[in-house]
Amino acid sequence: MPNPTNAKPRSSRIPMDYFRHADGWTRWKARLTWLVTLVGVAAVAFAMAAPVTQRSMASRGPLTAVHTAWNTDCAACHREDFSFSAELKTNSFGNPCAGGAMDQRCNNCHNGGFPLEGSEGGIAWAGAFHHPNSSPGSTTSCSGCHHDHNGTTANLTRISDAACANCHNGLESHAINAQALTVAPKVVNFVGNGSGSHPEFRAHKEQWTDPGSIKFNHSLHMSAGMGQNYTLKQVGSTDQQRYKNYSAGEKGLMQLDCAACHHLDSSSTPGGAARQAGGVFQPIAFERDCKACHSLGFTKEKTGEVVEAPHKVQPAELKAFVEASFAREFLADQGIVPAASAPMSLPPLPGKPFSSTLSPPDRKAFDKAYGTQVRGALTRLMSKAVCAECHHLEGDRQADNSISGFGDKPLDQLLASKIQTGLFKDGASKAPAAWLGNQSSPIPLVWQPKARFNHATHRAWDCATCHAQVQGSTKSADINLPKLESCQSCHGPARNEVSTLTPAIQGGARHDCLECHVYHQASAGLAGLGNSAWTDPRGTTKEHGTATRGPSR
Amino acid sequence: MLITGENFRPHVPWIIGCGLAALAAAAWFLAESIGLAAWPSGGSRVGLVLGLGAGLICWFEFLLWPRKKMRTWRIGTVQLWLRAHIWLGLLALPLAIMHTGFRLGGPLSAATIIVFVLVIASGAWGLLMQQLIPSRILDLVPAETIVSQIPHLSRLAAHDAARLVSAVCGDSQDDEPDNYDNYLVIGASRHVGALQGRVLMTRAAPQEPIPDSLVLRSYFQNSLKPYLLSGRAGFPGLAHSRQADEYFAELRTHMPVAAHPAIAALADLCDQRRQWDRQAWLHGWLHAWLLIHLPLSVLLMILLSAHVVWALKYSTHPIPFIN
Repeated sequence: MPNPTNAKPRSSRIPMDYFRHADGWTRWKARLTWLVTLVGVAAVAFAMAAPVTQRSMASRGPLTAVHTAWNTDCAACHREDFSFSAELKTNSFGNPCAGGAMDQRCNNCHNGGFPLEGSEGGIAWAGAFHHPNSSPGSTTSCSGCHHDHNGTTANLTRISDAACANCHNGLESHAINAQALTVAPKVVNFVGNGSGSHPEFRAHKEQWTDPGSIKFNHSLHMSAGMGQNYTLKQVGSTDQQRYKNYSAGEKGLMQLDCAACHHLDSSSTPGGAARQAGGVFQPIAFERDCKACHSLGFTKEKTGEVVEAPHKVQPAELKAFVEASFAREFLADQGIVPAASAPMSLPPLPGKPFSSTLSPPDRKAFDKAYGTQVRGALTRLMSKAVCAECHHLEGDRQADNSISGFGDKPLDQLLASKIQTGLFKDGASKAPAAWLGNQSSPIPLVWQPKARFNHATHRAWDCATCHAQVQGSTKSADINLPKLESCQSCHGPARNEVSTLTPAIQGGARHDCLECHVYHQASAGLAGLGNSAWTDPRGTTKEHGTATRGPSR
Repeated sequence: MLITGENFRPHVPWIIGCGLAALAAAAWFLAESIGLAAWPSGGSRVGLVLGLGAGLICWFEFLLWPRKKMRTWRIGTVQLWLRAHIWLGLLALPLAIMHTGFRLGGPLSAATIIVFVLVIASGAWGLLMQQLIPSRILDLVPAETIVSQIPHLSRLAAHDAARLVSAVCGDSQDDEPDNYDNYLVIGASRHVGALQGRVLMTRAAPQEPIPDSLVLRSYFQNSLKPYLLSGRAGFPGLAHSRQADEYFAELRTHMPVAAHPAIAALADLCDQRRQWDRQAWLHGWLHAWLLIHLPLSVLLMILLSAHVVWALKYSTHPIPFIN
């Protein structure tokens, strides 16, 4: 049988146009590409069409808990359009706080007094909200430090040390006036070696002494019997219950501790330092903390009545009070008023001393009958047993203010003098004037106004752990502030060496800058939550709500 | 694209250029990070520039697709485009990661960067496969053919085998009518030195059926034909050469000696079919990455476009360079 054809057609086994027909791989690539394209476009279109999904798609994550209310309201902080040109025209780019569109929205709520105006130390606030001497270019925008969208539990205010070190590793180049720097030019860590570690506290470094005008001997008051074999029985009856834990029975010697006089401020110090609750101690109050032992009473010879003189009065006012306290007897003696209706001690006319209301003949008669008793009472009150026990005369600061008494001045001279109130600002304490000006009490309330410290959070420690020197402090001038190393015992990197503290501490507590310092209004360290009024360095006072919350919107 | 051996030289300028660019970007990024509480964000000066660079590279990478479709355009050789595609794509990865500030961000930005990383990873995998697989194919598949034509060639091989079996065993009622009684044209592999290629060989068919060889038809129908048509899936017993040797050795014991040349031809056909199976498997490794790389690249372009729109709409600062 002949071969019907040759082998050539059989050899063309692969069609010449085979490439025109897609194989499985090509078909699947096309199918998947179209599928992904459709799904992708649909997802994006859906997200863009619905405002809620549009925003949630853009969101980097949930806002922190305090901002939760704006989780779905992007426009509360962000621009939500493409209006670049309008913002370009209105923004002041050199000032991030005033310029950035988002910063402006931050300030809608957080306009807590910044950017500050005015001047401090001769340097004008130039829009900086950290320190008047910081150059505006050294400050970033709000979101430059406070990163939100990191979850509800994120802390917006716990900024890393690197942010601080950005300027504080060489403050000279970030200051408007490098010559006016009042702090160490280079501080980059709290614990470390070399020039970048935190310096010793200024009060110790500059060897301040206490500028307070109250004489006080801590060592004496913390000793058993307080140097006078003092017992509970000698305490006023109304205060015995309060002090019963400080003695072993009525006849036991009294021995006070820190808590006997120092009471944590559970809220704030109105008009004074604004701190967290428990951050500082309440100012020492004579009526609450001293009066139980330090009576201001004097005894009338005729009646044996004990009269309690008022506190916080000047000698002239004290004299008027004492004279008035004898008014009852004098008026009754003169038959002007029946003895039963005579005033007990107050002057007959409000606001006037009793003696000034008497006619000259009556005045002479009063002096004759009661002058000796009045002078006797005043002599006691002005003696080192009463007023002079704790106070100085104005402008007459004793070199050793632990010494009692006003010296050998005659009574008339003492009565014409004034008691020192507030702090001594005579330069002897070496404390700077700005610091002295921020303290309103005769006893400094806050020794480190630029730092945050909360005594309540350290309540697990005995006071002497940090304030060990108090037990031996005999002079009012002593500053019993712990030194830096005391803080560093706990606040520093964990280490193996054994601390001298009891119990032994090996570091490990937080030691970043913000553990103690604040950034905003740092030079006005007394500002902050907890104070009803806030006074900034310019001297202006704002209601705290206005300072921190801003105007109602 | 091969980047090994003598093919490496054209890649050197790209490697050096992209490496230096990546180092410069990293240095700038680190410099801008000093003193910041967190890594610079995508809206920062350095973040925006790096993001812009990565985005532009992405768009360029995507243009390879139309460039391949338009092969006749005189806009650089495809080789040049491929080199740029590889090295710029790798450069875009660190740029994009630094643009994120090492944060995933919201759903859109997270999806964008994840898809981007997958695209780069699939591309890198594909590049690796391109370095390894072709040489393996050369070694393991001397009878290499066009993968898409394997089913067609398999049918032809089965048909050739059926004609050979008919010639040996005699026609049966099940056989298809065939006019090529006297000659068989079958594919065979031939070695020439170190090379092996596939050639067509014309064999003379037996003039008469060989006595006592009917058992061959049974073998053919039950195992040889299914294997030639579908490979391993049709009859796994011939998937490995050792198994096939045993199979044909057994077949020879049942067949007269005159039929042994025909059995050798059938074994040759099965060997070709085995190589095609192996080629299809290697081809899958060589091209499977494209099933991921290409669709995700398209998705990346969509997400990247949306990311740009969103970033501009909700940007923190009016001008990112200011802060």
